[in-house]
Amino acid sequence: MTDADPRDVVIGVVARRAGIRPEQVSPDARLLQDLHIDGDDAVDTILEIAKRCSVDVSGFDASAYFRSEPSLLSLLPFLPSQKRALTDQKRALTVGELIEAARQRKLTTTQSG
Amino acid sequence: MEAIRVLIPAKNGSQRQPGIDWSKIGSCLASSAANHYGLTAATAASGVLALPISKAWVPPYKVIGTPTTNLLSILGRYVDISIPSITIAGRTSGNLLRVAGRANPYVFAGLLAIDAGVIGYNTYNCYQQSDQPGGQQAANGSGGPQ
Repeated sequence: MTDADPRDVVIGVVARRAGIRPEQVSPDARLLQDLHIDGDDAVDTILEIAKRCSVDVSGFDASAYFRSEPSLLSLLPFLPSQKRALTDQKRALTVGELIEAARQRKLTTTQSG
Repeated sequence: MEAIRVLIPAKNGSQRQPGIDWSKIGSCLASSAANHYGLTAATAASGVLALPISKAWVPPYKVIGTPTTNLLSILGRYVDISIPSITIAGRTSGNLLRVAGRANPYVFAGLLAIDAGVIGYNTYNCYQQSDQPGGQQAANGSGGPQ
């Protein structure tokens, strides 16, 4: 846990992962749909924020918000598991929700969904 | 009482249409594959790297992770080689191994198509040449694209 403002931590981490400047990150921005942070990068982002802000993420299910990394299964788009992995079937997680979770030190699927 | 004679034309092997010689195709296929083992090996390596790995086997991701990942992406967590952000399949990353891991399944599909095409083409050439007199030796040399 650092003494830094959770807002600065979250925006800093998200901006670095998205490859943009912190000023370009707004609280309304959605990680997957707007910033294209997805797959293991998204999970790493959540875990880094959790580590730096001591956020409990044990009740958070990343598969509701982010897709898996591409694999051989990605070449078979007709599979049910691949249809469920479409971007438009994922829930949105905004930077503002992450900031709020960092302040409350708890991120759950219910809270953010 | 006269015997009824049924005339059945005698089978003459020399007049029959030549069939497909599967053993010849097999040997041509084997020699074509052997001639392109580098391409086949690259395809196989790409396929192995693109295998889905359950996150239940990856300790850091076990808690909140999405269902599957791939080997290059896991390595990308530990070896961070930064590059300008690139978006592949709707996923942006500035980590070289992550980007490679996301492109790899499509690279595999391309390699597989090229591999199958080249080996198929050379097998066909080999089979055709081996039908001609003295063609077996020429066929072993493989006349198609390498």
